[in-house]
Amino acid sequence: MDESGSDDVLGLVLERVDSHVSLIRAAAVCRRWRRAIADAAFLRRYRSLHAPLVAGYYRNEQHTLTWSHVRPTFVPSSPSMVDARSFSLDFLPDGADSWTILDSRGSFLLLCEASSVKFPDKVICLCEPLTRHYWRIHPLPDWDDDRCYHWKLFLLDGESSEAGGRISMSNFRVLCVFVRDGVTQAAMYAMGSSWSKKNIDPRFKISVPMGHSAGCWYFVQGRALTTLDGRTGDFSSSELLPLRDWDSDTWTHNFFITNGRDGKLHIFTVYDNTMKMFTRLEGGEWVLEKMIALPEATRGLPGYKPSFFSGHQYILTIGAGFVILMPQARELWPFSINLETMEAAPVEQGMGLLVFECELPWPPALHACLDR
Amino acid sequence: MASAGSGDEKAAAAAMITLISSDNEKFEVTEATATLSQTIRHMIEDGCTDGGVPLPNVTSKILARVIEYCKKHATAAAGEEGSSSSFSDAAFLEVDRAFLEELEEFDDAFLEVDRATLFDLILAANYLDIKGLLNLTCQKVADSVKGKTPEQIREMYNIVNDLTPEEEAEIRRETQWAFE
Repeated sequence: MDESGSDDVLGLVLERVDSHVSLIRAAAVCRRWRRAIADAAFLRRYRSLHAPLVAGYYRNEQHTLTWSHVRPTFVPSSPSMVDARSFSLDFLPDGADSWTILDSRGSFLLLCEASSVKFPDKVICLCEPLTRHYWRIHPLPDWDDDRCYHWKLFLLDGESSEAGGRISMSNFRVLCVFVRDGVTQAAMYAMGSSWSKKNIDPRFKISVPMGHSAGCWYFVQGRALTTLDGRTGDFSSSELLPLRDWDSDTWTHNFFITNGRDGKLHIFTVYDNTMKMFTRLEGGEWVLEKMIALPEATRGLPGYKPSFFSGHQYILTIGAGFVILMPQARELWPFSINLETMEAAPVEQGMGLLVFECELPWPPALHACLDR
Repeated sequence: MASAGSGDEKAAAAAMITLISSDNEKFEVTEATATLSQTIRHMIEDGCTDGGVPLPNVTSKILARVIEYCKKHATAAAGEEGSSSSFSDAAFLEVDRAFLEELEEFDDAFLEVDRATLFDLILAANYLDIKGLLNLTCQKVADSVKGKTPEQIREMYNIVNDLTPEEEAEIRRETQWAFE
């Protein structure tokens, strides 16, 4: 490998190293290997062959029932690839406890100060936990607190880099959607050029996203499904199924959208003590794929009472691969449903409110010792 | 390969090619076996295989192994074509599955070679453009790197460390999290 192999062959071997962390270690073997791996064309090819790895999930730690104790915590995916301590946010000003995560993308988190409430006073920052870098984002310049409300921030990709990176400390973007004088508006922050106005369909009503998966956010506006594409920052709309599952008074609260492990988009609805899973087919139409009756699914759980199913079921938490539901009852009896198997289980300690996926950085930092 | 007309497939399949290793050893193989190599396939298409195909980059030891691989996989390819065109019953699918398992076992056993031979096989597969063999051998090396420290990789492959301790420290600092 050292003397005989040509660089072509070395590249053929290295592009098959099926672990991002092993590739970085291989780049510390010798100068020749390092140059081969640090090459932008090699990295781009490697990226096209190996999907980004989700290293774990951050969440704003909150008590499931009282919503108290906001503090970001990290849960590594299993098997864990990197020491979980490397994901600590202790490098942020005033420490991890004073921040709340708003969004995540690639290996980056978008956070705001947990203490202040008004948007322009809030310090917003972007950070990359593994490299322990952060960047403060200035607030919108012409924000008027009396006229503007309902703001929401989304972290977007920048321009793709030569090495196949989608987002970096030097080219990320942040989209802010807010309502000013009753009209939905948007502004885009691009690293290096601050905030600028972005045109947006004025009919779009800012609401809590019904889901976030595969780099897109999903909103429901009446019968339309609106998608915000996190690669481009553009909105698009498509028709939803005419279903009474989201026709009831509480429709904004009883369904959510997520990606399955199969990569397909799913809508889960909770209506009339029934949980349904709809799947979007390649042609764009939605089909009912699974359905469970919640009273039957939860009958074996400790503390079960038939009376829990005489009222509404609230969606408390949507996590990675699970949802936590709670009956409208005097007693607090939350239970979780596994979204793959649709099986019910008791709520485990530490199932947080929202999860923010965190990938390993790409491209990896390979700058030292590339001289001949 | 004087005149392989399109209607003359049987004759083409039975046609023999002579491969000549760097140390001048001659190997007679069927065209079906030889054309797993894209390089040789192109030579055949260009009609320049009369008198044998010299392979100055491949020793007889390695060429013998490459031919062993190609023979096995050429049979597999022929079998697949046969079954997909004429049979689709469960019995034949079963035979197919057994054959694929056998092929996998063959590949595993084939890779049980020392490191020097493995690298020679990679170089030969690259030169002869045999996709399956190239993938098989490169993947074997790539898998051996997984989970190893740089020092372990150097030891495994006799790689001279041309980085100073200061440079190594600098490299680790860049991506500290990957070394913990």
